[in-house]
Amino acid sequence: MAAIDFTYQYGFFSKVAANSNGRPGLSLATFSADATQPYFFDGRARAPRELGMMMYTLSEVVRTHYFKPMPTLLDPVLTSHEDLLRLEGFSGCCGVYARIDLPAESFDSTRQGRGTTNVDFNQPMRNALLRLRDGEDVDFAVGKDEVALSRGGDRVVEKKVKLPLRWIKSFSEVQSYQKRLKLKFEVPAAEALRFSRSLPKSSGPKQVSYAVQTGRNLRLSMRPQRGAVKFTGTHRVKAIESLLPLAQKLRVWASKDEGTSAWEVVLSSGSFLLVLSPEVHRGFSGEGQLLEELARAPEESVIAQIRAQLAWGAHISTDDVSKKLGMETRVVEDVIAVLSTRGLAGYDAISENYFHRELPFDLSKVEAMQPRLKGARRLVDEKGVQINGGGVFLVRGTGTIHQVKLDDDGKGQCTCPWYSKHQGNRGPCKHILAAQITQETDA
Amino acid sequence: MTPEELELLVVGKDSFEHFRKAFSDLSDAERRNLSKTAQKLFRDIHRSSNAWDFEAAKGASDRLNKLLKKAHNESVKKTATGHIFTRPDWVDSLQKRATLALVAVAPISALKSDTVWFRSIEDQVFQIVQDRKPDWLGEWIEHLIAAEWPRVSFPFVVKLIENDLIPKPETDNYISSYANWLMRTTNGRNDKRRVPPISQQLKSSPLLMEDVYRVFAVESNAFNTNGWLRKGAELDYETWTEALLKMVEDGTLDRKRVLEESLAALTADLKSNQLSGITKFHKQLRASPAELKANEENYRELFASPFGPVARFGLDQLAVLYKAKNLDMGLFLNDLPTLFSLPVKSHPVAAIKLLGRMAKSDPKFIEDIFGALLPALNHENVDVQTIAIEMFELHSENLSPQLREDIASNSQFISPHLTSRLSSLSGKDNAEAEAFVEDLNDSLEVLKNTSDSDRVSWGLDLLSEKPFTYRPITSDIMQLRVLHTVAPIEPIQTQDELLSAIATYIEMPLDKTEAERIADGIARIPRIEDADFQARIIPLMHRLGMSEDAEYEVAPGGRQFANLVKTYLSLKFKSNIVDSASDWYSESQRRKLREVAPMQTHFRLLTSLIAKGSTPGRLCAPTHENGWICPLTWVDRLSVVQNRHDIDDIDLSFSLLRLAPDNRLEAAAKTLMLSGRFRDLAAFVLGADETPNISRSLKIEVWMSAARARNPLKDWSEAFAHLNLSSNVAGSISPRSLGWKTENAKIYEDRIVFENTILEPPKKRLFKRVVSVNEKRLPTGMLGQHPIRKRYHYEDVTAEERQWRATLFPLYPAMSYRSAIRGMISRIDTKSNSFEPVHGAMNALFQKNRPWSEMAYLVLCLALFGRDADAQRLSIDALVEGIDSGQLDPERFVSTLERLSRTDWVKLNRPGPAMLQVAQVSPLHAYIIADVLSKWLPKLETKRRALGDLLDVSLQSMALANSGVRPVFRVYLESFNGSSKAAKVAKSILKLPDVSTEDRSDLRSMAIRSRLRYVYSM
Repeated sequence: MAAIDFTYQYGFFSKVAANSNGRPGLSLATFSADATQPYFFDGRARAPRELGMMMYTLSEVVRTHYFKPMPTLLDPVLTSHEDLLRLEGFSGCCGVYARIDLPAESFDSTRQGRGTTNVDFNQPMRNALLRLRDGEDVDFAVGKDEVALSRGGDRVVEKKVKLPLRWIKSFSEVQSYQKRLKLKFEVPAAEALRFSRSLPKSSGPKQVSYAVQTGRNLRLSMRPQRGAVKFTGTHRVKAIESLLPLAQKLRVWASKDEGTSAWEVVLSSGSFLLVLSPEVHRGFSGEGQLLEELARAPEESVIAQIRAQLAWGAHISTDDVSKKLGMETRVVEDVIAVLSTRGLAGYDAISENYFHRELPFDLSKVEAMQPRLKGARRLVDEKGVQINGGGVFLVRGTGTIHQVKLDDDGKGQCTCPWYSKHQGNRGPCKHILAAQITQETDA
Repeated sequence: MTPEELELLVVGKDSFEHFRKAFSDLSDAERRNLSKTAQKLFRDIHRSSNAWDFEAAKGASDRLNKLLKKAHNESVKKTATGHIFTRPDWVDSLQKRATLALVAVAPISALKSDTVWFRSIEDQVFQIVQDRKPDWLGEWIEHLIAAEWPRVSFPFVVKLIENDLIPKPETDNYISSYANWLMRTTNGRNDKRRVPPISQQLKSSPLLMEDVYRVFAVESNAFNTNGWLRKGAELDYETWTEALLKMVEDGTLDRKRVLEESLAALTADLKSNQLSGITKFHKQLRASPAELKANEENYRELFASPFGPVARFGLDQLAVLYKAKNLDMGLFLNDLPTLFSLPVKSHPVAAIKLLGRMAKSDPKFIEDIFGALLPALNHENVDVQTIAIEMFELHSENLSPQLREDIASNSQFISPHLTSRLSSLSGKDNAEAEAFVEDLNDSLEVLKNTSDSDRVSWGLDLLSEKPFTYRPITSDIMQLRVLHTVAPIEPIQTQDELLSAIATYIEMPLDKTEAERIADGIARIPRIEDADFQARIIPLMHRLGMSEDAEYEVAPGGRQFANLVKTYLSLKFKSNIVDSASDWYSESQRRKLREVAPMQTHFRLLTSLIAKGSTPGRLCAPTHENGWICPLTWVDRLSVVQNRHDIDDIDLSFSLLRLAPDNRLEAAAKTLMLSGRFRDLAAFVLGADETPNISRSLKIEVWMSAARARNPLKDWSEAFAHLNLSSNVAGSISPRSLGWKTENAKIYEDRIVFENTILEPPKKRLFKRVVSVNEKRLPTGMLGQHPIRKRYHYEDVTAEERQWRATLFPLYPAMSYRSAIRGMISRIDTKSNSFEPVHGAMNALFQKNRPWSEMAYLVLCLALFGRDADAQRLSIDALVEGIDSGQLDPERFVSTLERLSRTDWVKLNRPGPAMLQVAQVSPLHAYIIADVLSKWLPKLETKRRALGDLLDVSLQSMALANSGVRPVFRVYLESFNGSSKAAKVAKSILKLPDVSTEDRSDLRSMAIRSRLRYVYSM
């Protein structure tokens, strides 16, 4: 497993402790890509119990590997927008994406900076999160003033981890899945809780499962039905169970074919989104959904122009950007795909908009980690692609020649096993990419 | 030292002292120069000597290869029965010297490799590194000990530290190795020295004593209570718990710190076994009231532990403090609610009981106590909810308006049978409890426009009568239309589409109906060998050629389908393909693999025709899902092929068996377009002729199939009597009706083994043979037959294949269950498993508008009683849909449950949760489940104490359905006494209000509306 040795260097341990004013305070320690410990936010939580439970659930997801019993010790990523705090993370297997959205209304805030940072989640803080209660005033801070002053001093808390590249890569791949999600149904929290409790605690079904809504009732089924949401790994959905007693409702989103689903727990002070990959053993990292956009590779000047529009926005519409810059929406989409792979943009399925964030990691290795694209470029370089006319290409395969057909929109079909098996649902094969690159070059 | 001298040292037989001396004075530069040689030697020797034949190493010296050859010669010993391979002892020495040479000269990067293993030569390694003193020694040892399985022994690391060669490693593994080493019982097989008690080892070494407090914080075996850890121990052996207690007692350890460290460990991310051990240790410290008070906050933190015993430990400690009247009530009550998130019931129940005591003794805290109790109403266990409500009821006069509001806001999570009690407490009606009343008039209006026969067949007339009584659909399987319930199958239209379908199917050979669609395309679409075709088939042939194994998977029922595809692509026909789904079976067993034999024969004939360039078409290709063929399409197909001389009689037979009951009379009207022999056949099977006008121009097996397709349950002996048939196997002219018995069940080596579970009508031999019947060409004779293994049932059929087999005779799918039942029984106590799936056969339960047979009920109940999550989830779906569609007959369901529960190998607690989930779907479903339980449970007289869970489901179902207690059930419940859970639940059921079914317009409306969906469309 490709991983980088990464050291989180926090200014202090995140904790829940009594502040100087006597109120309990939740302080999250920060650490960014430029090795600073930014101070983004200071305020008072209006619903401390919900805040605590959402953060606890996120930390549970991030420290769980849903496929193998492997410990993971990764920390979530927090982005502070003008009107929103957003925490994101993946499970150790990269098959579950969890996100907390905390709008400004959830706090009485005195300071809200903009930027992205890692935040320290440690065991004592996790325990303390469960003890936050509504009805008590709880201060909430992301970063600390004095931390910046003590940087490099003895008080820095170091956590050395093997940060899997696929964990970082998942941040870009999950966007393309979210774009295909549509709202399927919503149920009251009590019904959602009953549904979650009906899911097997252990030794769940090995087959594909479906969430079926009949009236207000939500139930688990093994049978495909109209309107049902397909998912695998009932234990993955149970991750939200502890939030449901506090929630208002559960909204379930799903893609049409591939089996990605999103479970949005709506609470009074924010929302918790859990996105599940199509299969338990499939992480979001290896999907290659953005390869076509990457193969088209817009010019850096165009990328820079669009990047300038992001401006730490929490809701960025590609239509708005294209109108503003006078560019085609497709070009904007392509550029944002490239920015996603660079960790600079995320997608919010609920508002159907992009958002700006800058992943706090060194992403140079991640960009290079697109084996299919690398393979396609090698095929082109080694003259492994032959143009046959009429959108047909003959591309060298392993021990054989594959036929690729590109339609007018550049979408392709190939005779290779990868395409035959996935029909493009897991991104294009390297033969289609090679044909697309050849076609672009030829044009 | 030259590289050659290095090699001579490694392959030579000099003493270790000589070996060591040779390396001891080397400078770093000299070591660097020798590094490559040492690494290559190490690789060559290990790679070669780890291979059984000591193969020569590439690029190695003649000297080394000669040595390896010698090792090979010495290792092989010829015996009368073959060869024995034994590695000569000196090879181990060779490997060790290669390793030591590596340690002496190689850089740290080479020594970190997983292949470098030197536990058995640590003494020599120590001496080598002592001479070498590399500046990376500490980093290397840290790396080795931090591995998942530490690659160095703890004493070796200690020796390095004590000799100031390395600093103490920082990794947690050092501490776990430390803890595990000190608690050893022996020093190993070859070291008979006695192991001193842990306290003695610690006291004798300041280095070891330094880390004693860290033993709490790191995962190790220190607090593991498993008995095997003490195996072979001396009489004075101490566990870590005993040693620590002893050292606290004698003052060696700081008691305060031990208390704090052990308590802090309980909030760390440790495994349950260790946490459990630490709680026991902490209890044995017997903290004084002052010590409890000092750690009060830490005990409260334990409420958040996801591990129940830890949270309970915190509660118990604070309960002691409460008893000593020294508990900070405010903080305690603030933190306690976290404990109610534990899924088990015992710890929350203990917490509620403590709250009860507090409410009694400290009324001034009553508001806070009730506030802490509120989350218990959300607990998933009904008993916790019940006890919480009881406590609220006990103090109902003290509940403030705000608290009543809070109680009301938690009512949505409460179990249905408790809602009325909660409403009394909160003073508010529960919206959830309002009766679900649908407007019955709409449904009755639709009913008016439904034909009389449909109303009778779907039991709609009886459903609309008062009082409400649930009725299943008719058992006359020919009366129920099906095509509107299944999706039509789009035939493949072009060669391009066909090739794409083949390519996809080869990679994803799951949907066997897709395989049939492909077979239909191959049989129908002319093969045009243009350039595009050639370009497409090259990678396909390459793929098929690469993956011979895939043939097992891709084919429905065996290899013939793969052969068909290959023949279509290449026009090269292989006639010697073995008809087998698996090579697990012996040749004799393969011959018995009868169920799919007719379809295999059909594929083989089709393949031979394709090889000749023919496009014969395929009569049995399904037009709809589940294998159905629309009779109108079937007549059209017959009219196209009727003049061909090469019509496959098995293809024709399967096409008959797949004819849907719909549109038969309309199709019969079209039979005039057919020639004589086919017209007679079609007229009979479609219902125009009452008896078959059997002619010898069609094979007798085709006529038999036609008879089964005309009415699967009718005995056609009379119509065929004049032919004097050679045999009458079940499923030919007489119907095949299967029964079952459970008396032969035995538990054998963890598996339940059944002999002759299925009862079949005996085969009749008719001696006046005039017409010979070939059973292998008669699909209904073969269905359900499978090679029987006497002791074990290893299911070699995938779930998809099993589903497909149910489509071979969709009119009467009972046969498809037969061969799966053995598997379901033998795996009844086994979790779901992708290797031996049992749920495939259950697909037939979901064929709409097919009344369930006796075999279907058996499969359904086995899934409910089984541990297989896939099968059990499907049984829930089947019950939900069965109630909606009217396929479920409660009487037959109860009968099957009752018969199965007479055995001692079904576990009565298993169906309960599944049944409850069915009941939660709607009041109608709850009503049926309550009805089933009220009829089944009284028949389980001998197992009353085990019925608590099922009675609980009964209680909740009745509450959900708002239904009353039937008289017979009431008598049964009244006979319960004692304090068991069953008795308590029985009393709760008896307290339910008696509700008449006379005016259950809600149930009638639901039943009619759901049933109508099956009459018209899905």
